[in-house]
Amino acid sequence: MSGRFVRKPFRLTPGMVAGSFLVALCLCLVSGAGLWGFSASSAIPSEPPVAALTILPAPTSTPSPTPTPALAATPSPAAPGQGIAIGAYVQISGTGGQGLRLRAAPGLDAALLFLGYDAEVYQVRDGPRQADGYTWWYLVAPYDEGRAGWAAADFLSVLSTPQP
Amino acid sequence: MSNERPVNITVNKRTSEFIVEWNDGHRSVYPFELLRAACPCASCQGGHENMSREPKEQVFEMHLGDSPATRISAVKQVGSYGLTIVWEDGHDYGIYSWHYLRALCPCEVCRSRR
Repeated sequence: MSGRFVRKPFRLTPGMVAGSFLVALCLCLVSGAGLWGFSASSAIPSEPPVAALTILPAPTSTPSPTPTPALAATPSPAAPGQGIAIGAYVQISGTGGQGLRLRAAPGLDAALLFLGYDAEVYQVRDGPRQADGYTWWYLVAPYDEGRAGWAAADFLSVLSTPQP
Repeated sequence: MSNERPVNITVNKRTSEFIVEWNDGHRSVYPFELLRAACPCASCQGGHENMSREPKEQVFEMHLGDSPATRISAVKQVGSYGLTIVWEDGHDYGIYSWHYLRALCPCEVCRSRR
């Protein structure tokens, strides 16, 4: 024994290369299968339905053929502002998301009280009044008597006419 | 917090009724116009400051009649706590929690408890 260590240079043998290749191949197969299974089973479960939902469609009418008059007037849907009367429920619409100004009195110079939102429903309590080229109605929110003011009819759609 | 959950929901467009069968056996029949009148979104309630967990008493007195605003187009579940209704006028902001829906039940028994 000389007492000295002699380090042999590391050399890749063909057997080691083949073994490494086999191990790598197995890892790829296992991880690939795992990934496939993960995605196939939809990793993010959708919200389970709480209740069974059934929608029964409205009946579709099958009108019988009727003779068409030569000059039949085509009824058009009620334009905004049409058909409004005291007691009716109206909905704000057509403001493009900007809201409708409800004012302290009829007219564009009257004090602005608040903005009504699109789709908001009000009951008509007073009017009509003409001012600044608009027809004005006094509206009151059905759930909040304090939320009330005058609004231009151009941005109101009638939901229902007053009950007799 | 109430534990009522719907078991079956039927949207009957023929009769314009929204029917909920609850897990405690109760059955609620809501006219479409009531659901729209009680839409809980900030827009319909007149702002966030007016929103509440339970419907306002006035909605039971509102009769909106038949219009695209009171016809249901679709119903979507929201998480596990409620649903949203898509109306034929395009409005779909309101989230009706189970608690809100149950409090909105218009039957005489539920109304007498309010």
